[in-house]
Amino acid sequence: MSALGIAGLDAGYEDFQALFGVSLELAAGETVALVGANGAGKTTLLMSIAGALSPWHGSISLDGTDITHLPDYQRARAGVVLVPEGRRLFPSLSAEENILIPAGRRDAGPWTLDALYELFPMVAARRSHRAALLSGGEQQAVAIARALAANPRVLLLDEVSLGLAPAIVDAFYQLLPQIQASGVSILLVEQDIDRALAASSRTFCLLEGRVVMTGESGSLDRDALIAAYFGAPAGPPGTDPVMRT
Amino acid sequence: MTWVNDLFQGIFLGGAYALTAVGLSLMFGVMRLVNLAHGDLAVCGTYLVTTIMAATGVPLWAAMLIMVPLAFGLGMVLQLSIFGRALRTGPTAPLLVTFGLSVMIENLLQQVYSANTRGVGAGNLDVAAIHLGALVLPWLAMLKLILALVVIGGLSALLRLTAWGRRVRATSDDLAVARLQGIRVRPLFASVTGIAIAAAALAGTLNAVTTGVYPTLGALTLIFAFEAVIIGGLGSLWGTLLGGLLLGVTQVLVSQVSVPYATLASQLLFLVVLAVRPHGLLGTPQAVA
Amino acid sequence: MAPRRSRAALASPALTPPAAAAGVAVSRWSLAATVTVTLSGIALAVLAAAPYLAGTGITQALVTLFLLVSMAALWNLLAGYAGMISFGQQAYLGIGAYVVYLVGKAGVSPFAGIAVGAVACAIAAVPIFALLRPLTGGYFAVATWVVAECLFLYVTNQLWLGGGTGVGLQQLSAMSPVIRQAYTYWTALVLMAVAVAGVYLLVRSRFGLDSRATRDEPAAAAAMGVEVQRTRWLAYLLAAVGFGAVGGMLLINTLYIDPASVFNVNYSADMLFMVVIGGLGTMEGPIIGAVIFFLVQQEFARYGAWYLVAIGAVAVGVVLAAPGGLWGEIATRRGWSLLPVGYQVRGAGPAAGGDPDD
Repeated sequence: MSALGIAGLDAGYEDFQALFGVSLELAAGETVALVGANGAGKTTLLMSIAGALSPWHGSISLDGTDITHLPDYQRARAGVVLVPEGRRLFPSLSAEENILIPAGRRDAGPWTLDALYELFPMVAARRSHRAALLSGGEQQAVAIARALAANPRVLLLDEVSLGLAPAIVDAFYQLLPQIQASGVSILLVEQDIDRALAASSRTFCLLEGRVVMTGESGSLDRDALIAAYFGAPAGPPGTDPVMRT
Repeated sequence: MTWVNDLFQGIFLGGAYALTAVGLSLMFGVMRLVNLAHGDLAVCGTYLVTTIMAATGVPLWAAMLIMVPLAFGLGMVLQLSIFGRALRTGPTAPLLVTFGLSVMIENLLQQVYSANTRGVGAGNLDVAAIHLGALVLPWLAMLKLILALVVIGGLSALLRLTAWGRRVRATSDDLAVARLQGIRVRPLFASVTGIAIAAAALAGTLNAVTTGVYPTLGALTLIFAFEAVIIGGLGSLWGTLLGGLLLGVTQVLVSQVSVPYATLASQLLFLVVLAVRPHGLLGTPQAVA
Repeated sequence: MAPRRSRAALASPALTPPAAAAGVAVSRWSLAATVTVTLSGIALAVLAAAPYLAGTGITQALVTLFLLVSMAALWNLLAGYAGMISFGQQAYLGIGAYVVYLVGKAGVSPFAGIAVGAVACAIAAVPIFALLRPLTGGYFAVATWVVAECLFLYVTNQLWLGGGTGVGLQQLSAMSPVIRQAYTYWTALVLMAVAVAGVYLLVRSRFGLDSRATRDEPAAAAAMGVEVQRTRWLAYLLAAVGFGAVGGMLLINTLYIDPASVFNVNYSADMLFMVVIGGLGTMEGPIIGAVIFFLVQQEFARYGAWYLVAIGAVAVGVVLAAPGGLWGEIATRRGWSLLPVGYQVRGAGPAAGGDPDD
């Protein structure tokens, strides 16, 4: 039984359809990467899984239980937690208060406040500062800590590297194994293909709302992936159109 | 020396205005809901107090104690049934719905209680006062300010120090993300509306001891509450207190000069603040929407 | 603030139909609309004959109906098309009424005073809107109410305006009641026709498009070059003028006003009921709502305030369960339209045709 199962998901906004028959499975403890260009539907997919968007067709299940019609706050309580694109911290709350929001709602798991401060020492140092005043990297750490504080079954990470300096992004990916070690299943949205491949066991590529490629991250043909990413035929090796941020 | 007495009287009246307004401020800050039935619901609480006193013979303070949880419950029921739905329906729905509710309540009260002004008997409390030389501080009037300070101070503390308060602040910052983090927004909103109505009903009852209560009193109550919030500044509970105090003092001081223009003077104060500093005295400059 | 673009740069589809799309036509009218307008014209002619055919009981009731229809159409212009919900239009009812009183007192015909009242409201709207400018939504609504309350408090204390007791219109008592009633009736009929036709033409115009865009998405509208504040101001101004005229009519019809009645928020409640139940944001809705409200009022007012409680409950229910109102839910959903406002695309593929009212 997979931790997260998505079958034939169609979703969109008003008249505009953004996802077409998306299916994917996340095994317990697995990290799966979701790559794709802007507008491919990655955030729409995560929002649908988190419950912020109601699907038009298809189903979503958590540990075998159908959660397709569960509202967003109940999904979070059941263990599907989203770290939104752009962090979306509560600006008037302090860093610590942000992290405390989900606390106490899940059965005690590994991620206590102390464990989180150990994982993110820079957050511990700024714990009573208002979230709006933190730097980009600190905000990202708080956002992830806030999600982990709910001791989620499935962690949805939406472009955690967006707008952050490479050094900070490196630091986050160095911490990722510690998060993975706690047994949480992770769906990681990432624009940087190399980081995505390195951090995950499997990778899915979305293009215009459809899954166009999937495979084991370790053995995936990088050029084929780049082609699928842009929907173009693969160019000669070495002509890498992907820009590193 | 009488102007000092008047000043205190104005401050006490302002306390009642602030207590009425704090609920309105809270509801808008947390839910973005301008409750046009707010004043009428406060008046309902006052009528409830008169009914309790008439039916059971208990004194005013006891009737108020009984009324508060009932008003809280009414607020919760309204939020869960009507206001919540209105919020989910669209941006103009809450205005239309709360205004419609306001009309319903006023006419209902008129049918049930008649249009005549009803008195609220306070017994000894009416005349008991502290005398400090030439200064006369009536207990009933002081209670208005004391309750305002207790409620606003208490709410501030609750918001800053408790888990509930944390969730309220988070939801008012970002409703969508609050839900995504698992916060159950409906009961949270219900508790906020409950507090709002209970506080306003308390304040309205205290004021009604002096002025009596009549079915259309809700309109003026709403207007004063609204003005206190705007003058003080959106998003600031202490600002609402300040706004209420300014309104009360203006009202009483002007009434010493000219009774008919006292209420108008308060309205003009509001319009001046609106013209000169729309975000209020303690609010932050941003769109007032 | 987005830069203003020339009107030419934002050519309206009605002026330059998409030439590239062969076989596609943009229509703004329909057969049903022609029929409706023709029938309305006939109805107006028949109504104009009423003073010759019916007694004063009927014409008096019809005057009430005409004024209700006018108020509904005007309130819908503000709330339904321009997105500004106001609970303070009674301020202009009062200004219009008291100006007619003063004009009458000065020896001029009160009927002419209606126009003066309308102009006075236009002038008054300038400082009032300046105050209301930064507000939107609920804050705008309550602030309009406060302004009306201020006017009430002021007039109540002005003895030269009759104070709290109110004033009567002596000017017309010299006229024979039958003639006076006929003139009142015809003026009200013309007022209603002008108000409804005026709102209709306005909403069909460029201004109407700007207003609806501003109502729906002010930021997007501004980015497209729509002058949001100017559009809001125009809508507010026109509504003020309209309500001023209605207010003048109120005095002429009842021959007596007092501040508590004319500056009363109950008028706003009535407008809300009529427009919401009829259909907010449509042309047909407010007219239907006004007729329904009129009939209910005639039939049930004798039961006291209960009918207002019931109507309030219906309005609340409509907003929550059937927000389009009678016309919106029944007709607009199906694409029916008697008084089309928008642009309908005919021809082309299956996506052609749209909501004719939007």
